[in-house]
Amino acid sequence: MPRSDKEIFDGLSSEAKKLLKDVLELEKKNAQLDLPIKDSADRIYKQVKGYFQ
Amino acid sequence: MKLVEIRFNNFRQFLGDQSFSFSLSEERPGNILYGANGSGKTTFLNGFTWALYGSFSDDVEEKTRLINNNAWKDVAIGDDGFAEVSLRFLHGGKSYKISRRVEATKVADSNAQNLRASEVSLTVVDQTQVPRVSDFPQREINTILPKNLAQFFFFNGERMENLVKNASYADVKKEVKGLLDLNQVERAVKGSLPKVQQMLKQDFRREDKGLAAQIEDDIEAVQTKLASLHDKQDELLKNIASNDNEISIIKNEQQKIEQIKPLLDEQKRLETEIEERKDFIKKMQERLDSAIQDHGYLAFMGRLLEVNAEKINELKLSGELPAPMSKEFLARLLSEETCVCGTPLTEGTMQRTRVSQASEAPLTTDSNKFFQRLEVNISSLEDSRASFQNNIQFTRQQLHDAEQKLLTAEAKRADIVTKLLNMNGEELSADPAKLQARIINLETEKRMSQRDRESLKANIQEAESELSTLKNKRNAAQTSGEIAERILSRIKLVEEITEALKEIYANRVERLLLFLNKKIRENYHKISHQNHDPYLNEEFEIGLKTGELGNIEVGKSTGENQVLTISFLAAVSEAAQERIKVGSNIEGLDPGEKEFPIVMDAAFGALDETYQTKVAELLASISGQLVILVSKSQGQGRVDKALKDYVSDRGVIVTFTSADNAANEEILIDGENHPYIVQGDVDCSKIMTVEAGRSDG
Repeated sequence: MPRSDKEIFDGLSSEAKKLLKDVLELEKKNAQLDLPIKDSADRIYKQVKGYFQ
Repeated sequence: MKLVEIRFNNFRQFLGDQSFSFSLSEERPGNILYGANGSGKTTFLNGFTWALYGSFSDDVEEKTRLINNNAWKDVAIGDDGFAEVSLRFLHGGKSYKISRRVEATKVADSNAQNLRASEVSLTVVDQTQVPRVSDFPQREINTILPKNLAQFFFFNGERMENLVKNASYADVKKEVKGLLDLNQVERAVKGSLPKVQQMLKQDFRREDKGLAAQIEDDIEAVQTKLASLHDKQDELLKNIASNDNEISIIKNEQQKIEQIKPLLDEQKRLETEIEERKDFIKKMQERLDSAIQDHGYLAFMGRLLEVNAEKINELKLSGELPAPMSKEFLARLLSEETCVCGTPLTEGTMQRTRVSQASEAPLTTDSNKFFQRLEVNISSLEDSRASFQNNIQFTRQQLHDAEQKLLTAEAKRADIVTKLLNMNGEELSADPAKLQARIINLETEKRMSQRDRESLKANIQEAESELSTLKNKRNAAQTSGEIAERILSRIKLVEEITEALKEIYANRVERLLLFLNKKIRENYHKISHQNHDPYLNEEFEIGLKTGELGNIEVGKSTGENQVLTISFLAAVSEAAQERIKVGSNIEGLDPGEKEFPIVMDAAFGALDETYQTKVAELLASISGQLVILVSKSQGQGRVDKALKDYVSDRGVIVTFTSADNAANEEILIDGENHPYIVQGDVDCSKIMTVEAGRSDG
């Protein structure tokens, strides 16, 4: 039986939960605006660099 | 989304200001527009997608000529001409009006329309009744109905048939993804997150000079290999679908040659028999395997059971079993005055009295019972062994018979193929030998692709396992310092969410497939009287199966393709409506509002009348608002009758033609005649609304 979205999400570390939400929100906006993938990648990279300081 | 009104202004066939208002009735949400061939039904359909997204379907010709020809003719040199489509709709308690306009300046006496980029405006009115002009109209429209979802609500029946007929499964898969609300997941998993990983890995290599960085290189190499294997797999899938499609076309060609029909019928019968026999053999083989797995041990017992029974009997008769052991054991406990469980067995205690009584009691009753049970068990095992042997023998015989019959059927089919290959096609409409040879080649190619795909699957599995091992090794390896350690933690974090998103994606695809399969079957059986079962496999290939076990592939005729297409489209539309109800606890995956109209051109294709009625009923049952564009011959009669209680608004797209040989034609709606084709001075189309009992142009 495949896990539900919630079960998958609950199984993540707290950092991963936050990052996943941010990535999805960002990609939803960028997909609607049809922005290049590089824009998303640069923003996610900057955000990830803030983790584990 | 509820459609309120569409308005065309000098847009393609529609000269001047032409509009149609849609029924908002809950009870009768159906609308039918009748139009002759070339009247502008396809333009009407594309008016929605052009207004909303500025795009047309592939079947629209001359996409760069949008301003009505007559209107353009009247534009003076140096002046601007324009075309505009406005759409009013309700959504989420708000009222929207989107208008898209395109202009061109007439240069010299040219017919060419050098269209400038279209301009779009969106006005929204909410409960406050104060109109708001959107700063980002396209973005706002996409949040209401994403462009890639729109094709499942505004579609051309004839064009969509190609999804089922042609080798475009990969495209279907891509388009249906919009239903999963997972475009953002796909962008992340296949686009941005791998790029982020690359950037982080570069940082890591700069910082770490140890083993972990070396392993990271290996990981990247395996990831590249995996991507290439997946590409190859997609390519093979396309080849297989293309072969299937061509085989089906050639088989249809063969059916047209009357002289070889008996041979083809026999070939078809044999192919069905071969499939059934193969399936039976598979089932018997499984039964055999399962019997051996569950009771195979009985085969090895043979003499062992008999020898053991004899030995036990001997021991019993000689008195060696079972009393001496028990008596000695109990005597020892009494002499040691302690039970094995530690309870003292000292003189005068109740426990000692019990053990003492047990050691003196005759054991014959218990031991006899034991031996009786043992004998029954041994005898039952012997019976099971005999039954197992009989069962195996019977199944093997059945397997052998089926294999012989399969060989006979295959030999007969090979004879027919040889006959077809040796036929002289000179006097026939097509050369059967050439057709058969082509089928053989295509089937061989298909088998090779299937074999390659199987080996690719194994390679992918191997690479995935290698990747997982390498990641474990890297995670356990010593890094060069604190900074490298931090970067590695970030890499692992990105990997963690990538894996989670991949799982979410795969689960949603699986759930969607289950839903679509159920709905396609339901819809198909509402329309078709054939005893076939449609299916949609994990590659989004749509097919039909038949037979008692539902395992025999059915060649799809044109009619079957149409019924299958409608069933598929209806299922997809239902899934699109449904996915909105399936929420998620993850922000960014939450769906919005959910009811959309269905606007369909050429919904009935070349279906016969019985099917047309059932298709009409199906469409009416699945949509909150339905707009059907049909020609007089398609729409009137049974379709009208089927939709009688469902449709409230009707319209005619009247064709005005300057052709000399054109005759005026009328259409009878609700007992009144209305213009359908009108001979006039100009070539254009006008929309006429027909209301119950009257009409206005």
